[in-house]
This record gives sequence, C-alpha cells and structure tokens, in this order.
Amino acid sequence: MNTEMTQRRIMNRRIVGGVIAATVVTALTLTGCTAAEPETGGDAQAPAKISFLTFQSPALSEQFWEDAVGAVLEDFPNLEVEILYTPDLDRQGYANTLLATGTLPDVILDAPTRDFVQAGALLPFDDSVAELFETPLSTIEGKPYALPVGVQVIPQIYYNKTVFDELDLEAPTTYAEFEAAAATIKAAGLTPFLIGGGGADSWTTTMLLNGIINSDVLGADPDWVVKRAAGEVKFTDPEFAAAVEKWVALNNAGYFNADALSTDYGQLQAKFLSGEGVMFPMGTWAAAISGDFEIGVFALPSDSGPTAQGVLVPHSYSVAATSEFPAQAQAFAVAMASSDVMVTAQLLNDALLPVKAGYELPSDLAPLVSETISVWQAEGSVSVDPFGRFLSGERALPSGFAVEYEKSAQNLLTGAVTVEQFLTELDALFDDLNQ
Amino acid sequence: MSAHASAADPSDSGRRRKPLEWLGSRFPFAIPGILLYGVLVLAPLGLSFSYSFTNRNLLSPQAEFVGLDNYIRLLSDATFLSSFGFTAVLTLATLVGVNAFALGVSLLLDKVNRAYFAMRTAFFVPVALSGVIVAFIWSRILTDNGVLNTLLRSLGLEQLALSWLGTPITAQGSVIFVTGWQATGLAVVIYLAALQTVPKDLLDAARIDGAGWGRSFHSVTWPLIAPAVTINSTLILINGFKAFDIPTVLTGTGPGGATATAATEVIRVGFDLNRAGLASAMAIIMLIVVAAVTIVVVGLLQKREVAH
Repeated sequence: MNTEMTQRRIMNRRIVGGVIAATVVTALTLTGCTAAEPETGGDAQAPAKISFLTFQSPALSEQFWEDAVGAVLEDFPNLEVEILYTPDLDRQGYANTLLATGTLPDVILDAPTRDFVQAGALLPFDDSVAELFETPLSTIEGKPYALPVGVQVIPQIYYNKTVFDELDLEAPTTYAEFEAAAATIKAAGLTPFLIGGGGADSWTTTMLLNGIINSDVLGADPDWVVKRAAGEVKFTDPEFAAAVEKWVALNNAGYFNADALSTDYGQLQAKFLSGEGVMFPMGTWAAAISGDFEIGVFALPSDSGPTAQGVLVPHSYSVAATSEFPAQAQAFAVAMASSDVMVTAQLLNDALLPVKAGYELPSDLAPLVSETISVWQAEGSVSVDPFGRFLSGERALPSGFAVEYEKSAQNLLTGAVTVEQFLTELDALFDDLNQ
Repeated sequence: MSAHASAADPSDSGRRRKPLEWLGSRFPFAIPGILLYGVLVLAPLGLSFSYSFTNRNLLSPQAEFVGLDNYIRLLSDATFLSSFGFTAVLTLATLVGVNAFALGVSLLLDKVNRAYFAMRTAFFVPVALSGVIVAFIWSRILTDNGVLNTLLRSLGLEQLALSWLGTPITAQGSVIFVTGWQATGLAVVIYLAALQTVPKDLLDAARIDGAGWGRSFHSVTWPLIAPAVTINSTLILINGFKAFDIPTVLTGTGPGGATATAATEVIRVGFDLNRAGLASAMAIIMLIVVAAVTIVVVGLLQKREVAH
C-alpha cells in the first residue's frame, strides 16, 4: 500500500513538474523571451555535447565527415559531436527552417550569414581568428561570423584542350578572343558552351552570366550590390544592361546547348565529360573532374584582358547564438576551419582552394587543381564576391532574389522576356525583397 | 415522427432525455481524437489564418498586423496568379483526363483471370510510389536525351523528339501528364471496384432487350458507378490543387517558373523569401478555393447519384 502511495506521489510530482516546465516554456514562447545571450568565453575543453549541421555530396560523403570530425576531436577529448545532415544541397534553406522551428544546431556549415546575423541567430568570432586565414574574412558590422575552409572561384571556364588544339585555339585572354573562340567552335559544328537549368538546378543557367557580371559590373565596382540596396544604382543602368546583353548575344549566336533548360547539374557535367560541349563555365569544384580528354581552365576575360573573379567562401562554419556550449562550439568551428586535415581533405575531395595561412599545397595535387589555383592567383586578376546566389556577408542579395533572378534569366534565354523587361523585373523584385 | 424516431433508435430518445449525461458518458472517449485533431489540424490552421493578416517573417519574432494587405497584394501578384492559373489547368486536365482514361482501362480490366489481375497490379504500382520517385524516374525518361526521345529517334520520329522539360509549354504538359499518370492507378482500382458491383442480371436484361454495349454502358453501368466518379473526382481535385512534389522534382518549377503551382509558391514565399505572413495568405486562399470547388463539384456529382 505504502509503495503504491509513494509511486502515486512520484507520479503526481512528475506531472506537476511537467506542467510547470510546459507553462514556463509556453510563457517564454508567448512573451517572446529567449534564454540570455550566451557568453562566448569559457573553457573550450570542458565536457560538452554539441551538434554540427553539414551536408553530403558525392565528394563529401558521410564517411568523409565522420573521419574529418574524428580527426579534429582528437584535440578535444571531452567533446562529443553529433553530425547532422541537410536533406539535400539546399543548406541555407534547411538552416532557415531549423531557425524558424527553434532547432538550430550548435555549429552550422553554410548558414545564410546576413539573414541569421540580422535575426540575432549567430555568435561572432573573436577578431583574432582572422590571423588564421590568408584572405580577409567576410564580416558584418566589422565582426566575423563565418570561418572559411577554403574558397571557390565562380565561375572559371573549363574547356576541352583536345578540341582547342585541333581547332588551333589558345585560351582566350580578352573577351573578343573569347567570342572568336566560340565562333570557331560553332563553325566546326560543335557546341561552344554548356549551360544547364533543369530540375532544381536553375543556378547552372546563370553561371556564365554571373561571370560576365563579376567581370564587368562588380570588377568596376565591388560594392555594386551594396549600392543597389541603397538605391544608388539600378539593374537597368547601362553597365549592368551591357553585361546582360553580352550573355544574350552568346545565346542568340547559338553558342549554348539547345537542351540547357532540361539539363540538371549532373547531366551537364556528364555532357562535358562525354565531349558534347567544349567550354564548361563552372565553379572551381569542377577541377576535381577528369575525362577521356585533357581539360584546361581559364578565367573569363574582360574586354581589356585581366578580369575580376568571383571568389566565394562556400563552406563556412558558424556558431548558433542559442548554443548551450558556445566556447566548445566556437573552438570546434575554428578547429574544423583551420585543421590541415580538413583543408587537405576538402582540397583533394572537392577542389576547395585553400586559404589557411601558412598552408602548403600537397605535392600530389591533380594538375587541373594546380592550374585552377594558378588561374585564380594570376597577376592582374582581382577578387570580388561572386554575383548570384553565391554572394554572402554584407554584399549578399536579399533572400530569395537569386532564385528569381535565375528563373527570369531562363525566360530571357527562351525569349519570353526582353533584356529591358528582365532588368526592370529585377529592379522591382530587388526593391520588394530588400524591404 | 418523434414516436417513430424513438422506436427506431432508443439511444436517440435517451440522448434527448438526458443530453448532459449522454455527453458525459461518451465525451472522455473522444478527447484523444479531439486533441489530436485540434493540435495537428485546427491549431495550425488557426495560426496560419492569423499569420495571414500580419507581415510575419520567419527570421524575426516581431510581426505587425497588416489587415488585408497580403490578400490585396496577391490579387495583383503576377507570379502567384500565374502559378494558380497553372494549378487550375493541371487540376482540370487531370480531372478530365484521369477519369476518362481510368474508366476506359477499368472497363478493359473488368474480367476475372490471372492476366487481368497482373495488369491491375501493374496499374496500381505508381500509386505505391512516392511522387518524388515518380518524378525522378520520369525526369530521366523525358529529358532531351532521355528514354523517350531516344526511342522516338530510333523509330525515325526525330520531329517528335521535343525538349519535353526544356520549354514552358512542353514542361507544363509533362507535369500534367506525370501527375495524371500517377493518379490513374488509384482511379482504376476505384472504378474496377464499382464496375464489379454492377449486377450482371441488369446487363443481361439490357442485352436481351436489344441494347448494344454503348447503350448498356450509358443506361446501366454509368448510372451505377456514379459514386465512384464522385470519389475519383474529389481525390483528383484535392491532389491537383495541392500538387507539389512532381513539379518540384521533375522541372524544379521551371523553366522560368512555368510549372510553379500554388503549393510550390507557398513554400517558396514562406521558406525562401521568409515571408510567412504572405505565404499563409496564399495557403488560406488555396484552402478556400479547394473547399469551394470541391463542395460544388461533389454537390453536382451527388445530385447525379441521387437522380439515378
């Protein structure tokens, strides 16, 4: 009998405790209160269990991440890391969903930095982390919120060297030479450029257009997007319109593959490797591919020659402001971003170009990766944040703009809209989304 | 009338005599169901309805009441209206196409032997697959150098080898076709079940009276399978209006947004643009339209059932 009463008391206490907890949570939710902003100080080696959101791709498998995290954790014996994966490659969209549902992991790869900082969802790193990297860190209001593992140049032009040799072509160094090469290839009955856009891969439609915008618009004014946000410039301005006209001229000349808008990224790469097109404008992750022919790479040239290349920090580590263990989470993020093991693994697996200070390239690097790095670091070339969905930090486009821009570009490609309509639509869309 | 009701259903008279007692004895059993329905259906619906009058953004806890602004904006939003227009075309096309094709197939399969049983199973397979898988398979068939165009070229029909997913019109046609293809299996099963309830003696009597196949179908079969038409039409209408997975995977709602549906727009606006308030208004409009169309169509079809 006593045992039964004791059990009832315990049960009642649990129920009361549960109700109090639920009430407190509900009250906090309803009043919009959140836990106090965590301190970033603390013992990075103290025991903790944190979660880490990343993604899988053919080059970055589950095994890759487990090995990489395992290697980093050798320096953090008291840290346990639960690796979570996004359901697809849309890391930022998934991170948005997790933020909206209050389930943001401690460490996030590729968070939409600008939006998340505005939402107070990320912790800034200490300024001293900048010393770990050769390139300046992307900052918001002067503070770094994301640490790079490496960079990608978007795009470079990968090309079929065998065809270029057969047609007696050299890698072009001016835009006029670039157009002339395309004309020669077309005259030989081949497809000069491969672009895509099928399925969810609308980003592949604008790869070459983005390159022209990087070179001609952002190269002349790296703060163009910031100025657009401030209303100081417009898409309909002559500089931007001229860049779009260049791309449309290539389309009108029949230099693009006719099946672009039904070709997804996987099919696009397969087409290049099977020789169905000669030039493949793509991010430098394409340096990891190999085919039955020799592949070369060059930077999309400007009218005058030297170009502005869009340099993206694709995989950056951020720490959630809601982390229970901010010191451990930040230490883990710094270790992941600056670990030689990670940098080398991502260089070899995903051709992610290293930016870690003092890092030495492996001696067994693939020739195309070496050539890609040389093209990126060529004298006279400058780096800008790449246009399109790849912009980040303060220069990022408003959320949702890039996908709409890609869709509008597809309509431009099919002739459904004119250049003027396209640019006017972009201005209206930007103003709407930038509110 | 009251005496008749009491005689017919004693529990009813009890309910009238002591309604509170009746409710008290049964209500506890309904609590789990009511709670589940309330938490999973009514609460989200209520929240969505309230969000639709705000400028709620997923990244910001603050939201202001904006009245009918979201609804007014949607009435002139070309992207939303275009997606809604395509959704309406998709729904109408699948409503007519699937009903007609499924009924034709059912009439052919309305036999009892192993071969027909195997064919029925084959028709039902797409229903068991998720829309994502169906769309992925068809994307491989319909892409420019896919199975369909390869087949057409090998048959010397080069002029028919179109870019099925690469132009707005063909992509819209492809989404409608694949959506209908997946919906056909269930419609066939429902029609087959209905056909097998048609009394053979009625068909025999019609035949003895000199009715041909067409006359028998028109005067005997068609009226008796009216409930199946209602069920299929209702399911196709609802699934058509909420079409999401097939356009998302098959075409990525492209090219140029040509195959965006109302449902894909809700997700895009809500989660890509983070505009939960505006997306909620879209969802409420969808709900009202689906409910209105379904009520009207089902009402008309049920009238036909009663008439027969």
